[in-house]
Amino acid sequence: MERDGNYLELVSNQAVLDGTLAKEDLDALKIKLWRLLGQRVERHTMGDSSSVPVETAEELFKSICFTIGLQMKASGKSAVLLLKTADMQELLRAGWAEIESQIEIGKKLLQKVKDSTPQIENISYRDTLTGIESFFKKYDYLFFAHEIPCDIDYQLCHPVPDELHGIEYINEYLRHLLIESQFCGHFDTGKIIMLLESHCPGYKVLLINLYEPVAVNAIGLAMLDGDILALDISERDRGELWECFQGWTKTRAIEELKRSADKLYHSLYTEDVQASEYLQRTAIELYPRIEAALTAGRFEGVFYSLLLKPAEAIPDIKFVDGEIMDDEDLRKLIDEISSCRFVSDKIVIVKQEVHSLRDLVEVLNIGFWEDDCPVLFDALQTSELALLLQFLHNQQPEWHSESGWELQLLEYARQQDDSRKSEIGYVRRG
Amino acid sequence: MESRFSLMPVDMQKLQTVAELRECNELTMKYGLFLSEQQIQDIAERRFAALKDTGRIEFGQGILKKLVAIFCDSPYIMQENYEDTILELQDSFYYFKNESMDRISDDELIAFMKHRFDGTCQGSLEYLSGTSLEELCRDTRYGYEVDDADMQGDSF
Repeated sequence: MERDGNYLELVSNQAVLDGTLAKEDLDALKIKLWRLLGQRVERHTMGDSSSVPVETAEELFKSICFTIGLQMKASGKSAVLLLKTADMQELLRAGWAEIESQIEIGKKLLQKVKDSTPQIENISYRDTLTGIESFFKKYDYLFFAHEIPCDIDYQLCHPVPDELHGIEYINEYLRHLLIESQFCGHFDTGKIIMLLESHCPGYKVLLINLYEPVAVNAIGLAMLDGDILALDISERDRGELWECFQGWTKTRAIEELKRSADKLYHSLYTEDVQASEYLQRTAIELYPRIEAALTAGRFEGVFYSLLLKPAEAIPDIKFVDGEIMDDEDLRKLIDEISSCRFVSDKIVIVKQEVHSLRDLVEVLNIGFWEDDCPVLFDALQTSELALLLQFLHNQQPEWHSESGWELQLLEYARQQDDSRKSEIGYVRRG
Repeated sequence: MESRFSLMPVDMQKLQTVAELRECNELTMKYGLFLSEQQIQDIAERRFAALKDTGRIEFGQGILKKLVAIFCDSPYIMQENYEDTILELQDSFYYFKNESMDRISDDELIAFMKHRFDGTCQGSLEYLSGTSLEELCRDTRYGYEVDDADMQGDSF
């Protein structure tokens, strides 16, 4: 019974355990509910069928319990007294009225969410809003009040408890979503996009939460007394945060996180208790991630730096390889490169003669050794480096060149600063 | 599900079923059909077994009274096979109610069964459940219209 989190059943079971509801009262209640179920089944089948599949009866029964439970919660009267004395039919009718009023609340919440939706492309967010809109058309509260006839794909930072059903679930979901959307509304959309690009480049299509990385970075910046609205946590900021968290106990760290969330709240809001609680919860739930990051020795997966170029600013990247040289010509070119005394001469030849990835790889395989490589890589464009890295990525693990240029390239890529790394990474993803 | 409904007043329903079947005897007497007290008890027991087997729950009067009232004037039912026929018809009814995905009302299904039973089936319960009802449910599931002629039993 507790599995479904049905309020009516939970209350009646608890009352029996407490001794406030006698077994006879419980039996009488069950008989009342059984009769009510019979009436609802008859209405559901429109008198055409005296029997229904067990599954249908179960759903109708859940709906009755949900509606009555909702009314019991809303009435504010003693639940046990209602169970003993109330007419279940009347409670059900009053429950429907309560649901109707909650539907109106839900519609207003949906409108508010729509008005505050951040201008960030995310399929699950968009589809969920469309789905919830259809919920209000499909919701059959007279027979299946506990059901949620729509798809909700968008993942909230703090999910709605499973115990909630029907309109209660939808309204709570919308409340959470509204807090998240309004929070994101305090920040520049471009900056959020840059943060998301860094946090999860596939943010447009993946089932991710848009609020969380923003809130986490903002909390981190609040902790450092940094520019919250900038949303950017630099390598140095990460180092400072690392130092802080390493020195703190768990209790102290959580206290500091909560304090930062409070500071963040006061810098963004005037008065919104729910938003404050939501932020506090986000801060508290951040700690396990920080703890894991401390163990792993990396903070990059918790506090993100903004990706310098937002995706919208860069056109789609397509790779079209140049003309491949004839084998004989390529052999001659490699001989010529190999005979060069200075690496600068080799690079000039490569720049002038090599126009395809395959030829470049062939030249690198036997034309560039050890110290030659970094000099060549310095002369190559970011896109060319990205192509070579992608080429290596596509090879089998056992693949090795004669000259060992691939090891030099990986080392070279590792030594680049954050900005160049992210540029190379962006081109590779593109 | 079982735990939730296990304490529901099944006994009350049984008593109600038994009382209804007793009343049916008054109606069927003129057709030479009569259920003994033991037969009534057996049929009532079987009702709940059939419901359980088919995964259904029944409220109110149920369909036994309707089945008896409709089938009692069939030329293919005699005192010797009366109880067995009612038991079989009851089982088939719930089975095919499921098979038709509840798209056929109780009255329509019983009427169809009666016409086919008296018509093409010539009193054969195997023929009724093996061909006619299968066909009806298949047509219902696929959204085909049931042949009016068949519904009237004119196909025989």
